[in-house]
Amino acid sequence: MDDELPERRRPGAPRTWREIRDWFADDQLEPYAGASDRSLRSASILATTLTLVILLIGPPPNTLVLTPLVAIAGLAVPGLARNRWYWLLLTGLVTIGTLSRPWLTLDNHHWLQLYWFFALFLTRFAVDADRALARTARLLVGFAFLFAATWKVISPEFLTGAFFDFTFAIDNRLGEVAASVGLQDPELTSGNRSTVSAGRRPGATPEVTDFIINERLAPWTPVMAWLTVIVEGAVAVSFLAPLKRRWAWMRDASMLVFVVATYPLAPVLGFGRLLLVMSAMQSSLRPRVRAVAYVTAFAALSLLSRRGVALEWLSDLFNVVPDADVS
Amino acid sequence: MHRRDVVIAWVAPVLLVLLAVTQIAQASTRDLTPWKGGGFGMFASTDGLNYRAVQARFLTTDEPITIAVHDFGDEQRATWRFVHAGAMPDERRVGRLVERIERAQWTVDRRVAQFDSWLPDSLVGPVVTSGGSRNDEVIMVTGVQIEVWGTFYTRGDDLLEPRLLASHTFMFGDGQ
Repeated sequence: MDDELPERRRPGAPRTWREIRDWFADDQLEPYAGASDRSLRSASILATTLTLVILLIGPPPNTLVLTPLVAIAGLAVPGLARNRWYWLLLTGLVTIGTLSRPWLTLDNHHWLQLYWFFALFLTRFAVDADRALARTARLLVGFAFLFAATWKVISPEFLTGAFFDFTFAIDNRLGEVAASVGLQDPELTSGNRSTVSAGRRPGATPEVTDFIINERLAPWTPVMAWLTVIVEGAVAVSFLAPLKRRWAWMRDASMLVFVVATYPLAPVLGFGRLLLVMSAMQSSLRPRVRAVAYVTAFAALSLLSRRGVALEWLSDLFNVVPDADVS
Repeated sequence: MHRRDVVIAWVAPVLLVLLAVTQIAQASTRDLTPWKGGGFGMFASTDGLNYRAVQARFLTTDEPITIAVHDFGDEQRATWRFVHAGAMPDERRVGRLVERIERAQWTVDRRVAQFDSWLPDSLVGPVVTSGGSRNDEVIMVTGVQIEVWGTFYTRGDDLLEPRLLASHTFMFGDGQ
């Protein structure tokens, strides 16, 4: 063995399959590498507390009245949120409530919520529950964004901007925002919606119809499409890539950029809150910074349910009049 | 990390991946709307459930009769079957919607059959009666045709293009 040539490779770089496997399993690649149990514990407390708050302010579909009561108990009784049987009860309630609706009517964040509660229960059986939950949270977010970005790339109408053209011209949620900055006429949105509704009436024969989009908005929609894919791709890559701890802040940064860029336009608040909770769980920021960043984002997201006030303010700022020219 | 912890940490993500891959496959092969099914295809396509149209008609020896298939009164199960048929219009899901159509009595008003009531289990349906002046006259129906249409928009032509995603015809054994 002594007369073997010295290895000409970077120290620590994997070469055999076993080394590659060990490299990926190395705790140095986890966001909590070197983090104290106290840091992990604080992330877990933050994530579980916000999860229970979600159950209070935006419970999953068809959850029984018992669910908010169980959530309150978890917030009030110290240590209860670290009990595996507590999470079994909550996971059961959320699962029964969610799956009592047919699966094809569920939104994607309902599925993500099921996975998250299942993980909260299952990781209580781990030797190091908080570390296992941090890894699960990171992977769930990473894969969800990987599939979201993949769908946008393979969908023929997304990268061309056609999807945003269509959605701004027909969806109230996005249309309101565009209208508030003078890039859309609310009457145009309702007119387009009537066109589509007409094809859904019993006996209607769907036929090719004119669809009016806003010419001022149209140049921007391909840019928005590409930015969406880039941001979602960045979240997917940063959460799935085995980053060293010094680069792990990119996960928090990409998630916060995504939340800020997305939810004022498309206020699917339940989805946004859930993503923040999971991102907080895997975050390697210092505990105080992490708590301030994620609680602030969580609260701001919840306030978006009153975004009408902000939109009125934007309308005033851009001096938008109701009959603005849209040609 | 302990090996058991690694396994535990991967269980939920593996479930996510399995469902999402299945959803992409079903969207490609069975016209499942990208927005539903747990594959994270929301906000990627104009082919959302809200923009799909389910058109149904009774086939008769004369002109077909449109069915107001979206409205089954208060029965949630039938409404869900309507939603399922729109979200993934394969033969199985559309067939389940037709089963509910068969279990009902329908009243025709201005060539549109409206849900009237559920038939007793002993009666084989559907029962279709004419309304208006010829009230309660039973109309012979030979089958049901269901079509599901999607809405697509291509940048540049400023046109909404409906596209027939699926069309299924179910014939009744001996007419009604």
